[in-house]
Amino acid sequence: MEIEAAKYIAAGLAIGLGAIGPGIGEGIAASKALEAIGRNPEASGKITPLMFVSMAIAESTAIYALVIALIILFG
Amino acid sequence: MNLSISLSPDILFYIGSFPVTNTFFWSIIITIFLILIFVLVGQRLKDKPSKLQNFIEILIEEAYSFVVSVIGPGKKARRIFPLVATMFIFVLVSNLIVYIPGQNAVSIDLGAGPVAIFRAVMSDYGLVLIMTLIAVITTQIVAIAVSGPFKYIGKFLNFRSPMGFFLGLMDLVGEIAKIVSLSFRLFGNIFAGEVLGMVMLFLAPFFVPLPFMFLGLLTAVVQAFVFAVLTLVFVSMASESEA
Amino acid sequence: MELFDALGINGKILLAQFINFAVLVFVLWRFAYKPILKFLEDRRKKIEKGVENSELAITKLEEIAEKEKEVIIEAKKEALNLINEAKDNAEKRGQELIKKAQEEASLVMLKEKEKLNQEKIEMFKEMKNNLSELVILAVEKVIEDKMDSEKDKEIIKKALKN
Repeated sequence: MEIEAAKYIAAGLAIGLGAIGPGIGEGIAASKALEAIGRNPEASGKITPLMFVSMAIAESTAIYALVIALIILFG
Repeated sequence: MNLSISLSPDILFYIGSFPVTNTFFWSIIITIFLILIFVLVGQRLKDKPSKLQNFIEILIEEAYSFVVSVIGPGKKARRIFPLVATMFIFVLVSNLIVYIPGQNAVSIDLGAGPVAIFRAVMSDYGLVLIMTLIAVITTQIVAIAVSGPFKYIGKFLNFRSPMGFFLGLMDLVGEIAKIVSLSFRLFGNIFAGEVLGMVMLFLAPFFVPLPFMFLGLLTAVVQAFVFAVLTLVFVSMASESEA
Repeated sequence: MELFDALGINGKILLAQFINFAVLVFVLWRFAYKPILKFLEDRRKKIEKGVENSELAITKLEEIAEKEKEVIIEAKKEALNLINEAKDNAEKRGQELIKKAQEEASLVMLKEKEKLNQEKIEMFKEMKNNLSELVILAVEKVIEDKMDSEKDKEIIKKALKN
């Protein structure tokens, strides 16, 4: 296998596999937040920004995967 | 397939030896636009507000009350508010300006092939990196101001026990990871949106890109919000640590 | 690093972007956020003051209305008192007037009576004189002769006295 091809495969795998965890995690965060809003609609103003922040932090892992993929491709 | 996806912004022209990229060009235009609108409103406040003044008033009031709700009222909120609000407004406007229709097609040719004049401003990693650096350095300054320089360094270099040393190193890595995650989050989302939109337009030009555009609009707003809020949260955490 | 090159990171552009963003933050803070936040705060205070003023005005209006009621009640009382006094006065006056009138009337009546009496007396006197003359004339006519007047007079006087 050529090294160039291996690089592309590795980059694809890195971002693909790295996106699984955050995807599940963000889904859980969103579902829980919506559940909480459903139970207590008045608190939606407080829950929504917190949900976004925690989802953003959960997303960090995917972003590290993206960085790794970029490094593999261009580094 | 003539899909031209470049990670870096394209250089439009040179001023002396200074390369003007398309994102830099647009960030300057957005800056001037924002300054014009805000200064116009801010210097001519009327008791009976116009629609624009009303909108900006609501925006600033809501942003300020949000900042107060996170960091608490008083001097801290007033100090950090300009930075966070400007980040939010700047990122939001530069994300939304992409959705002005028709701009993807405009390009100029200055010798080295056609170059698109328009490009999502936040898909320039340099700009995002600079904003992230500003946010993180502000956080460090706040932390130093709150806990003093020696305590601040002691948090990262702890020689009292191997465990403490290890944890200190982890803190250091965490601070650097903040830069990476904060900048690549915004850059990655906007760049991915750009690429996705381009691919979809290429594959099926009619109607199919619409849902992705809606998703992109949502992303544009949410990412602007997240970037500003994370900065705010970092700063408020730094200002509260061991206070 | 090649990655930085791939991302298009250039020191000059970074510096330019930094200055750009810093200017944006400064200008927006100095010329937009500050005046707008101050303006909003002022307006909030103004509205607060307005609400306070309106509450004050309402309480004052209520006070004034109560005072008005009190004043009206007092005025009514006073008016009643005045009317009663006036009535009393009028009655007293009337009675006094009636008394005076009665007194005057009685006085007048007395005077009239006296006058009448005097007139009567005078009339009697005159009548007596006249009568005596008439009697003298009649007697003279009857008797006519031979009687001198002195004797006559004496006789008549005696007769009259009796």
